[in-house]
Amino acid sequence: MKYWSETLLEKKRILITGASSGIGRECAIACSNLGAHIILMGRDEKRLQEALHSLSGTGHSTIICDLTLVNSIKDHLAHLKSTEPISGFIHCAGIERTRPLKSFDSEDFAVMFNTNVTSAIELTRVISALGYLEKNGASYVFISSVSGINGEKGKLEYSSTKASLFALTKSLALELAVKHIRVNCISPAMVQTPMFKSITDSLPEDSVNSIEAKHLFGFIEPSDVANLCIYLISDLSRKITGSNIVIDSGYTLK
Amino acid sequence: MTINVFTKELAELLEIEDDLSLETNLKDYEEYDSMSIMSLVAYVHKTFGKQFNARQLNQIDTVESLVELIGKESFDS
Repeated sequence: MKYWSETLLEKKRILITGASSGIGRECAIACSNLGAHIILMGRDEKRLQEALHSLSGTGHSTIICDLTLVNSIKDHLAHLKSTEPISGFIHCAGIERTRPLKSFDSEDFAVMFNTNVTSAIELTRVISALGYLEKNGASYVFISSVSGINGEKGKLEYSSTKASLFALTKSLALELAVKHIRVNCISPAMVQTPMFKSITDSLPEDSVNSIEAKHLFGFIEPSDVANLCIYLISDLSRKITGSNIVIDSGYTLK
Repeated sequence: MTINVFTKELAELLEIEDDLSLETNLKDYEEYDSMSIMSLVAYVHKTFGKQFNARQLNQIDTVESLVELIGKESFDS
């Protein structure tokens, strides 16, 4: 595979968390358009079914799973072993919250860390074990955030979970190369998702305008992130591993 | 929670050294900034189980208007 084609992801089975909305749902739709079989993972059965019906082609499935319950993840994936080999994994699930230091709550943070980070590690551990993957290897993509690079006032919890994702990306890339698994990370700035809407609805209008002004080409669309995911999941990026690719519309330049 | 306890906790949360009363205008204090408002969102949710956003809390001015937003029924007399 040297160049882009409409069958780029044909026969690839891709596990996507946070698949019922936002970036996850967009990735699922985009990958299915290029021939992939998608395993959609999420908490809400109804929204997951809606996402499932929006996919192109056949051979897709859903797994209903609360990722904060990390110890249950293995059981939710057991049926895939030796039956449906995975060739890609996109971790989009995540909790976002603005909460300054003085309001820090360790229990709330544990829930966020489980969803954003620990579940990513556990999912990676399970599917990287014998019997889950394509023989030719696989590609994993973690959705991080520029707030993990630059930090942000009031985002110490969220930004530290997102920084963890690209730190673990590098370690996993080194550890899993022997199994022909590539591991990469994408760090977007503000993406126009339902999460984005809840953030902007809560902020004063002038704050929203000032954030938007820093996005030199406008806020990012979920499809912008999905297109990058397609590239990283596909064999076109076969020499890329351990990278954190920023997609920020110029946000971090200023 | 009584109003008296609430005003004490509010002053501590916002790091305001003065004693607060129902008539105190929070917007007179530079400590009542966007970060404090985010802390107040978390505090009100945890203490009263009511979820407001920063935009809503940015619209109140006096402590009394905050009490009314939370709901007077949430306080002990």
